[in-house]
Formats: sequence, C-alpha cells, structure tokens
Amino acid sequence: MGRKFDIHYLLDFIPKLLSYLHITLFIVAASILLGIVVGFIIALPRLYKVPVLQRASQVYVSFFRGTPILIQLFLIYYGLPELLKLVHIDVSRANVLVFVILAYALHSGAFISEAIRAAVNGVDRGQVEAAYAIGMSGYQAFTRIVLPQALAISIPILANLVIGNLKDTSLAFTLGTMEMTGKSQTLASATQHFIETYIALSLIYFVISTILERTFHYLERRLLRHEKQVAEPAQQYGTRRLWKRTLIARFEKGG
Amino acid sequence: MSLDPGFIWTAFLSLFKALPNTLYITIVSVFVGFIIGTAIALIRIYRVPVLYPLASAYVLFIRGTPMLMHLLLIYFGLPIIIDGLAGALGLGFHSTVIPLIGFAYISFSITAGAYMSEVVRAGIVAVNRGQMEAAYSIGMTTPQALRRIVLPQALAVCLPNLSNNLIGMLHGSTLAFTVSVVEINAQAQIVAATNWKFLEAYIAAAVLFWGMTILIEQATAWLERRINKYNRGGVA
Repeated sequence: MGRKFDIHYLLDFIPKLLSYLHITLFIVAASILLGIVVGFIIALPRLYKVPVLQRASQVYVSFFRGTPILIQLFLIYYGLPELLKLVHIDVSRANVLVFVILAYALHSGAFISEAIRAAVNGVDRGQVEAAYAIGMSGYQAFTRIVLPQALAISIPILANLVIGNLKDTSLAFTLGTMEMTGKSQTLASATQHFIETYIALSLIYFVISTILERTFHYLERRLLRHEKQVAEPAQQYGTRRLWKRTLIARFEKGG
Repeated sequence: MSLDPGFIWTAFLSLFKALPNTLYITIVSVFVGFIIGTAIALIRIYRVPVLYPLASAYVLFIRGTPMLMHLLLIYFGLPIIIDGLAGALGLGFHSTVIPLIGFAYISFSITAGAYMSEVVRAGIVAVNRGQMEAAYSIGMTTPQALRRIVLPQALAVCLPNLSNNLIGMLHGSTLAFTVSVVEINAQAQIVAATNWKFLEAYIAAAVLFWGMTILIEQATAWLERRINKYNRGGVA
C-alpha cells in the first residue's frame, strides 16, 4: 500500500498535474457550451408545449438525471459507434475525448434544460407585455428584457452545474482520458506514492472550484444590480418569489 | 458486434446479484451522512466556538472536491493513519482487516455528511423563529420544541433536497468499483467483459438505476404529500 508519506512528492506532483489542467478545463468548457445548446433544444418543446416532443424531452431529462454519469459515459462510449454504424459512419478511430465531451454535454444538457425552464418561467409575463407596450419587437423584448433577467436567475443554478461538471470530469479517466485524474493514476502507480498524488489532486480541484464559485458569485451580483434600484415597486407588484427571496436575504444582511 | 437484445435481460438478471452492495452503500452513507450533517448544521447554526471553523472547513473542502477523491484519499490514507496509530500504541490491529466496502461506507458517509449539512441547515433555518418561541411560551423545553415542533417542519422543507441527495449517493455508489467493491457498475463491467457485450450490459445497468431513481422520486412525492398534510387549508 504505497510508501511512507513524503511531502516533497506533494510539491512535485502539483505542477505535474497542473500541466494537464487545460484538458480538464477543456472538457468542462466544451461540455457546458454544448450542454447549453442541448439544453435549449430540450427545453423549447416543454416551454412551448409541443405535443409529442414535449413527452420525448421529459423522457430524455428523466433518463439523464436518473442514471449515474459513469454509466452514461460507458453507454455513449460503447453505444454511439453502434448507432453510427447503422448510418455507415465509422468512429472507431475517433479520439476518446470526443465521447467524453459528448457524454458530459448530454448529461449537463438535461440539467441545463431544467435551469432554462425555471429561468424563463421565472421572468414575469408583465415584463414582456411592458416591452411590447413601449413598442419593442418580439426579438427586442427577448434579448433586451427577458434574457438578461433569465440569465441572472439561472446564474446560481449554472454555477452549481459547472462546478458539478468539473468534479464529474474526474471520472473521464475510466475511458482512458489523460486529464488530471488520469495523469494522477499514472503518477501514483509509477511512484507508489498514492496518498500524496490524491492530496495534490484534491487541492487543485478545491482551488479551481473555489475560484469558479467566487466568479459566479460576482457575476450574479453584477447581473442583479438593477434589482436594488427598483426594489420597492418590484415588491409592490409582486414579482417572482425567487428574486424576492434574494432581495429579502440581502436586506437582512444589512446591504 | 451488433446489439443483442436478449443479452440485456441476461445481464439485467446478473446485475441483481450486485444490487445489495449498491443499496448498502447508498443507505449507510445517507444515514450516517444525515447524522453527521445534522451535527454540522447545528454547530454552524449555533456557531459553536471551536467547532464552527472546523465544520465550515469540512463542508467547504468536501463540496469543492470530487467524490472520487474522497474515496481514494480514504482508501489510501486511512490505512496509513490506522497502522501508524496501531504501531505507536502497540495494538495488534491491522488495517487489512477492514473489508473493502468499509472504505466505501466511510468515505461516502463523509461526502454525504457535507451535502446533508447544507440540506438540514436550510430546513432548520426555513422554520419560522416564532414557532420556537410559541413552543417556549406554552412551556416546552428546547429538546421538546425541537423534536415536536421544529424538526417535523424542517423535515417537510428539506424532503426534496434529501431525495436529491439520496439519488446523488445512489449514483455516486458506482464509484465504489475503483476500490474493487462489486456493486452494480462493477458487476456490469464483469458481465460485459466476460461476454464481450459491453453495450448490452450498460443498457441493463442504466435501466436498473433509472428504475430505482424513479422509485425514489415517486416515494418522495408521496411522502411530501403526507408530511405536508398539516399545511392543507392553511392561511399561508
């Protein structure tokens, strides 16, 4: 079970693992961006209540939320080539990274679609009506009024998703991807210093998720700036409960 | 290699052998995690002097690192600590007597504890302060007020989060294969490798997990209706 604990290995491993950080971050970024696209496609049928597609998107969300990401990774890794073989596309020589990113994108797509639904439903209908009343077009109303507000609502959920995704990427090593965890496996078995490797790896994950959390917190405050100025009338006209709660929390903190 | 639908059923049946391990890991980690979480939540709510920063650091660290890391750290770190202590104290105890699933229990309980503490904290904080005061005013003691008034209401509030956590731990139990515990995922890998039918085995595993998740969701929905019965026809 490894050798005696040696702090020097810890310091030695951190830079070695950090040199694979970009692959971890690439998986996170690519899968979240793709996941947002997937999420929109999945959320739209339910937002607009399209008959059959609505049901299909419900099943999609239920499946990807109801099965472990590890199983999904394997399913896509072994299943996608089979599916594509039916349409005569050979992906047997594709990079493993492609499957990994796709699996995480489909996984986070299910969660993102729920976030989008919550956010769009969270924006008051009156906001759109008010935008129309002053002569905005549908597109203008959406991009200038609804989207910024929906974005602010979805930031905390999105933050959790991104951080969750970062932590989930530690499973990509099971398919042989050389990201940070994959590298740690080779480092650990090569040197037999397991515990030092995993402490180093945990520290890196911890620092990155803390940075992400702070960034999203800052973003959320910035996007909700306008709420402070219109706090009184907003409460008077009974806008969404979610925002009210954040407002109340802020007042209680003496902000 | 093309899909063999018949084998999905065969794989499904053999996965049932590993179902108990998955359930043990889930139930133990959620149960112990709930106890740890309640303790941590109370420490953080009442801001217990020395323990408060420790509890906060614990929650922060666990929530900031992947569950896989907790498992690997416990698996490789705990034996060093135990054997070191046993050697220093001259005990005959050796870490090799700990069964592999024990490491999964310990590490996943620690993981669940941090997430549970946030759930419990949110639940307790959500109960109106006036409820506690009302309980005092009719002469209840603090434990009585907590047990009879605050905790039942807190439970109703945190039930959806509790169910999410339960599902999260159920899905997280798939990681136990890294320390050679044969739960459903590991069993799927075994069935897949011995029959060279990977896709079918993982379809079976996915269906099994999906079914269990839906069961948990349904049970939660039913419980939620029951627990919230007192809310029916209220003024709020």
